[in-house]
Amino acid sequence: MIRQPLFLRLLERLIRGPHGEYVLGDIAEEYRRMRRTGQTAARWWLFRQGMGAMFYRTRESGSAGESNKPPARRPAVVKGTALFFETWIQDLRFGIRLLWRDRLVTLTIVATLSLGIGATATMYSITRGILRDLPFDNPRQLVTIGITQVEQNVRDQDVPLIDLDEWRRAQTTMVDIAGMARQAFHLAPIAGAPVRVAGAAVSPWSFRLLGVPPLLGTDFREHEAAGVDPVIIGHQLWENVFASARDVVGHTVRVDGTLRTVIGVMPDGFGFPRAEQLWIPLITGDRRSMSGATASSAMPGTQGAAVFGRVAPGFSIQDARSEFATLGRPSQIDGSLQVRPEIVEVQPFAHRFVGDDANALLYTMLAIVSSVLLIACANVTNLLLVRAAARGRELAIRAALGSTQARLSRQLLTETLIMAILGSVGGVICAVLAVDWFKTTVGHRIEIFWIAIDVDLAVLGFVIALTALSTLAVGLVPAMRGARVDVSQTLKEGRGTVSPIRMGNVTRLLVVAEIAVSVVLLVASGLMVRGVLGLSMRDVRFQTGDVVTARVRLAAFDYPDDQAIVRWYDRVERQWAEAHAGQLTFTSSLPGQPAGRRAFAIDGVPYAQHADLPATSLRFVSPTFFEAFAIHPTSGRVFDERDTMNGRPVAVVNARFAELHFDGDPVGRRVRIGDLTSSEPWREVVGVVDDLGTTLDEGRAAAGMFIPLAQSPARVVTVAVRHEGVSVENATTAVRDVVSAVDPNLPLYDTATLERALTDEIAPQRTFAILFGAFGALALALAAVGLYGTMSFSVLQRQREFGVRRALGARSLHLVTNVTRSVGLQLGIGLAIGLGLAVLVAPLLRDFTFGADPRDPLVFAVVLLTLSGTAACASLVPITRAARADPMRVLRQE
Amino acid sequence: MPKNLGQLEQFILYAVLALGRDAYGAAIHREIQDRTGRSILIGAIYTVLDRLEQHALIESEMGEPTAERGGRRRKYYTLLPEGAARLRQAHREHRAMVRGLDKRLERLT
Repeated sequence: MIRQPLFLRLLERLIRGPHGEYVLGDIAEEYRRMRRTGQTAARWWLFRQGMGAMFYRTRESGSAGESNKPPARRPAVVKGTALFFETWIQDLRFGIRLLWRDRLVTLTIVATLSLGIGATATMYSITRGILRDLPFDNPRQLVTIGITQVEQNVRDQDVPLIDLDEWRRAQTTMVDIAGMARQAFHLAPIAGAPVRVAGAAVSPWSFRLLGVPPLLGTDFREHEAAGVDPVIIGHQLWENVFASARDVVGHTVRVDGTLRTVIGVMPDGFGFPRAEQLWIPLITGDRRSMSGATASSAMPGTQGAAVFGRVAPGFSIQDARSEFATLGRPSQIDGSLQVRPEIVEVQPFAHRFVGDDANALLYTMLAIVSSVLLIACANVTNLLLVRAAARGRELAIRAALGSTQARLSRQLLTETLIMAILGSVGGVICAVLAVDWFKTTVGHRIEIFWIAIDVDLAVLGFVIALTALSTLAVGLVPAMRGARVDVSQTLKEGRGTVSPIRMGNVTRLLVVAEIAVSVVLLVASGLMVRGVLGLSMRDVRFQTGDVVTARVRLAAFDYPDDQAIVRWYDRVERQWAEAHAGQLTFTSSLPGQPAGRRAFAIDGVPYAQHADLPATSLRFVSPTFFEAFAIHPTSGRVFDERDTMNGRPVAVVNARFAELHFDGDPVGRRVRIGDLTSSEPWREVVGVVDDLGTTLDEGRAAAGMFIPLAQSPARVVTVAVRHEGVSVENATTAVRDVVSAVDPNLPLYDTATLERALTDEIAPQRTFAILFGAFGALALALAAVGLYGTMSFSVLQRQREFGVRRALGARSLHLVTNVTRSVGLQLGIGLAIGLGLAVLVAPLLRDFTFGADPRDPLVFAVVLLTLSGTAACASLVPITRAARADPMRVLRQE
Repeated sequence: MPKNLGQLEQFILYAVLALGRDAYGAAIHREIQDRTGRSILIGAIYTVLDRLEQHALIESEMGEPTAERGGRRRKYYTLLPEGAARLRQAHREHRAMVRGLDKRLERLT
C-alpha cells in the first residue's frame, strides 16, 4: 500500500458519500504525478484540489437516471460531525467572502493582532533571554559579594584577598565562597603568535562550587604539585586555537609569558564569570608556602578579586547578607583606618552582570508592551463590535429565515477565528524578524555566556494562545449580542438604523486609555531618540574622517615597568614616522568614547573631605593627539617634546573644564589627580583646548582633562592613525606591520575606523530607542484605529438623527461641531492623563535618555501635535460623513 | 441544460473523446492540463461531469481499485450519441467563427 499524504486522509474523513472514493482517488493519482515536477508546487496543488473537492456535491449520489427529480432535502435533524463540518465549511466560505469584502477592516484587525502579538513575543523573548538563570545547579543559590562605597556610590568593588580568606574561614551561611579576577591574557602555543584571550584567575575550587566538571582532563586542585602552573581552557578556545585536539591536556602553553600546562577543557557554553575562555588558579591564603615567582604569575597585578559564593541550603540570601554585614571587612578592622563608610553587599550572581538598570528597563518595556497588547485586543473588540453592528440587518434576515442563535454565533466566531489565525501568523513573522534584528544589533554585544536571545517558543505559544483565546472571548461578546437579534424590531426599524447593538461608554474609555498610553510611550521614545541623536550627532568638533584605530595591551611580563612601556610608545612612533606619512597617536580612549572619571584637586582650594573633590573625565594622550584630531589650543599650548616621562608634570584642560573649575585663565594653575591622600604629583595646566564635544553632560560637552601618556603610561592603549589617501585595509595593515615590527608577540585587537568605533558605542542605545519608538508608533496607530472605529460607528448610528436634524434646519457646521466635541473630549482627557503619566514616568528613564531633559518641551510638544494630528486624521472621514448627512436619503429609508 | 455547451463542458467532452475508453477524472484533468496548460479543480470537473451525465450526454461506470490511488476505484465516462452531437455542433460553430482569422489574430499585438 502506498502511503497517503496526511491531508488526503483528513479529506477522506471530511468528504463522505460514494463520490469521495473516485474524487479522492483521482486527486491521489494526480498528486503522485505532480510530485515529480516539484514537491512544493504539488503540495499546494493538493491543498487547492482538496479544498475544491470539499465543495463538490453530487446531484444525487450515484443516480444519474432520476435526474429530473429535484434533489431531496436533507432532513433538518441530521446530526453528527459530517453535518457539523459541512455547515462549518459553509460558515468558513461565507466568512472568508465577507472578510474579503471588508478587506480594510479585516486588514486592520489582522494587522493589529499581528503587531500586538509580535511586539509582546519579541519583548518577552528578549527579557527571558537576558534575565535567564545561570546554567548551573541551583543557580539561585549563587551570589556575589562586593563592597559598596556609600558616599561615592561605587558598587561591586573588588574584595582584598585577605578579606576573602578571612570571610571564607568565618562565614557559616554559605556552602563556600571563592574569588574571581577577570583579566585579558596573551596565550601562545610555545612557538606560535600570541592571541588575546579574555580569562580569569579563579579560586581552585570555583568550578566544583558551580557544579561544572571539565569536559576533558581535570579541575584545579587546591594544592598543585610543585612546579606545575596549570591552566584550564574553554570549549570555544579549544576549538579555535587548538582545533579541538583531544590530546591538548598535558600540552604546555605560554600564558602571559609563563609556561603553563593545560590540565582541562571546560564544556561547551561555559564562560565563567561572563564569557571568559581561560582560567588560572587564583592563589590566596598563606603565600609564603609558594615561591615568589609563582605567586606573582598566578595573579599578576591583582590585589583583590570579585567574590562569589553559594548560599547553603536552608539559608536565604537575606541570611547571607546579614552575616556578611556583621563580618565587615577584617582587613580594615586590623589597624588601618576606616576611610570611608562602606557596606558589604550580597546579591544574586546575575545581578552583577545584568544590573538593576537592565532589569528595570526590561520590565518597564514589558509592562508597556503588555499594555500595547491589551490595547490591541481592546481595539479588536471594538472593530468586531462595529463589524457585527453594521451587519445587524443581515443577521436579522438570517434569523428570520430560520438560522438559530447558535448558528449565527458560530458564523461570527468562525470569522473571528480566521482573523485570530491570520493575526497569529503575522505575529510570529513579526516576532522572528524583530528578535533577529535585536540579535544582530545588540545581541552580539552582550558578552555574557548564559544569555541567549531567541524567539522563545513557549512564550510565542503562550502569547498566541492568549490572544486567540481573548480574541475568541472578545468575539463572543459581539457574537452573542449580534446573534440575539430581535428580528421584527430590526427589520421594522428600516434601513436607517444600522444596528441593534448600542455603543457603550466602555469603547470610549478604551480610546481614552489608548491615547493616554500612546502619550507615555511616545514621550518615552521621543526622549530616548533625542538622547541618542544627541549622542550620535553630538556636535563633533574633532576630525573623525580617515582614522583607523586599534587597541594594544602591553603585558606585564614583557613590559615590567613604565620605562619599558614608554620605550615601546617611542619605538612605534619612530617606526611609523619613518615609513608613513599620516599621524600616529596614542590615547587611553578615543575622542567620542567615554573617558574614565577621576576625582582631582585644585591647588589652593581647601577641601574638607574626599567627597568635596570635583571629578572630571580624564584622557592620557601622546603629544600628536591634538594635531591628529585637529583640536586647537585657545590658550597656552598643547603637549610637545618637553612633556616626557621625566619632564615637568603638566596637564591640558578643555574650555568647559576651565569654565567650570576656574574663574579666569587656568594656565599656570596646578591640579592633582586622585583623592586627598593621592601620591600623584601636582600638575601645571599648560593649555586650554576646544571642547571635544563628546559625551553630553547636561546638554553640553563634558569637562575634560588631558595628561601626557608618557607621564602616566598605560598598558592598554588605543592606537589611532590618520590615513589620508590610503584605504582602510592598507592603513590597518600598516599599523599591524609597524606594531609587529617593534614586538612580534603583541596582538592588535578591536581594529576599526573611528566612525565605526563611535557608532558601535551607541548601538544598544539606538536599538532601545528604536524599540521604544516602534512601540510608540504602534500605540499611536492603535489609538488612531480605535478612534476611527468608535467615531465612524457613532456617526453611522446617528445618521438618521443627523438627517432629521438637517431636515429641521441644522447646518453642516452644527453637525460637525456636535461630532467633534465628543472626539475633542476623548482626546483631551486622554492627553491630560497621558501627560500626567509621562511627567511621572520620564525621570525613571533618565538612564536611557542619555542626557536628554526628562521634561524636554520639544519632545512633549511634538508628541501632543502628532497625537492631535493623528486624531484629526482618524476622525476626518466620519466627520465628513456626518457633515454630508443627506436628509432626503435618510428619511426615504424610513 | 442550455442548448449550447460552455467552454469547460466542451473541454471535458473533448478530453473524454480523446481518452476513449480511458476517460476518468484524473485522466481528464491531465488531458486538459497537457493540452491547454490549465489545472482545473477536480471537484469542478466532477460537477460538470455530473451535469453532463444528468442530461444524458455521457454515461459512467465504476472501474477496479488500484494501488496508486490508495485502493480507490475509478469512475469511467463514455460519450453518448447526444453528447457527440452537441460537441460536433460546438466544434463546427467554433471552426466557422475562426476560419480565416488565424493569421490576423497572430498579427494583432
